[in-house]
Amino acid sequence: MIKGTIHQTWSRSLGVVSRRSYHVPSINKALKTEYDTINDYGSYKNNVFTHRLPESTAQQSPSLVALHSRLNLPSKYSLSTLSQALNLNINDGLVNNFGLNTLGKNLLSYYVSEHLLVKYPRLPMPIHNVAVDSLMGHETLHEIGKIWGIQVDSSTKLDKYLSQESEFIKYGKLRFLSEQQKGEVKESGVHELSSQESKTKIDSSFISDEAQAYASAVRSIIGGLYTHTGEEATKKFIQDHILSRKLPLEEMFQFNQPTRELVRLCDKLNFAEPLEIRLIAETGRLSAHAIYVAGAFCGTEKLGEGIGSSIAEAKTRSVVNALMSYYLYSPLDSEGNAAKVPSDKDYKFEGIVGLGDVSI
Amino acid sequence: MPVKAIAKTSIARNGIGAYIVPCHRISLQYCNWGGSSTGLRELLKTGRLDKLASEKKGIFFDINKKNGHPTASFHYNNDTIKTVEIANLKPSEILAKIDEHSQRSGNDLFKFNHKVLSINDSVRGIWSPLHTPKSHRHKI
Repeated sequence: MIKGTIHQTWSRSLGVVSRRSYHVPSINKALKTEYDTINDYGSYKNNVFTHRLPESTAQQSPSLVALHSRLNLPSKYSLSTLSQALNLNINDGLVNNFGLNTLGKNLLSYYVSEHLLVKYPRLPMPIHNVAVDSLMGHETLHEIGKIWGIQVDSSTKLDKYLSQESEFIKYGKLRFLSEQQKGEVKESGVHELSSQESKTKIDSSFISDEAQAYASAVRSIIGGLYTHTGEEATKKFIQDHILSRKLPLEEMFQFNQPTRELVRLCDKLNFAEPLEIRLIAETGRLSAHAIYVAGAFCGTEKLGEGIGSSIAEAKTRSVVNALMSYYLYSPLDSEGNAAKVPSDKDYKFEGIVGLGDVSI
Repeated sequence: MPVKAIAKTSIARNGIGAYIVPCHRISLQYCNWGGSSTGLRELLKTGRLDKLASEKKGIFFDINKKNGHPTASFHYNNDTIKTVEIANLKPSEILAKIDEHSQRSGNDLFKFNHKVLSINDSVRGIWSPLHTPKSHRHKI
């Protein structure tokens, strides 16, 4: 209490406004929310006027129609929903993609984590988290949005008027820039961070507003597909566009003490024999380019093998190889196909559940 | 923490699962007066271009009227724009150009003299001389 007062007086005397570092919820003023009393949540009502884009208007947007057929979306998926999925602006009178984005995000995280947990049940927690990001993080979804050919609506009303651009074209473009941001003069090679971007800045990297907007649009398109066609089609769409990407899991591991980790792992698995690393073959020990092959053994079982130009390198590689083959194990069902995921039809549990991470 | 993670983005494999045509927009520019635009004007007048556009539904066609030689710009999803000169070409030649470039990926063409181009590891593995019994190894 006393500390707080002192701090306040000190900051006031210096003319510094102290900022709270924790998250403070605040009402979005743009939604013009009204309520009877602040804690009567049932009485909350947004008075901002929004309307859905009429289907007849949406049909006149060539960019929107092209995007619809490029993604091979079913005819049940209305063009106005697709246009809504591309709208991030709160103030332009049209419904935005807030709800669709949340829906799409939940669907994506369900199917992605289901896929990873069944396919790689022994993946350590940090790797699993990075793998989820690798499939549905904002960077990946930005890339997917680009691949889908979504364009940003970056021209001002004046530019559109001068180039006699049809007003319908913008409905098929990603709308997240305000009219003021569009009009800003851009210097090539210089990018001014917005307030949102500077919050995400770590060292010299940041999450750009554009990447966020693209990711949000991709999620919303998935959410829109669910609202129009249901779960089966959405699952197929996610499998085709997201889970079909190559996941470079082997490049995601960084071991600090691999040998120690393997010893702990063998302890955890209750292996009877101790872990031994043995030299399997070697050539040219006295030459400039010696090659050694080492193996990590547990009794007579070979857990991993590695080749190196020194004995130490070969040993480490063999241990890392043993760890990788344990962590990246993928269960198969009785017919030799990949194990079924819980959302599949007549699912029966055939995989395994990982034992959890080891501690060093 | 025993193992640390290195963040990587997943790699797109167009055609595995879904296939998205890389060319998403074609801009055609013609002149209403110049003789070099005759072929393109013919295409526009006879409606053959409409037919092509309705066949390629995923591509957004836009037509601009501007003085000078006619051009066709192809916008690809890797942020490249390829502009092709279509001056003095016959209608069928223009259609062939559009057909060819709308099927491209937008990457530069390169000479490739190997049998397989892949981002996956070899299925067979790499042959190792050290994995044969000692008596069978090649002796120098």
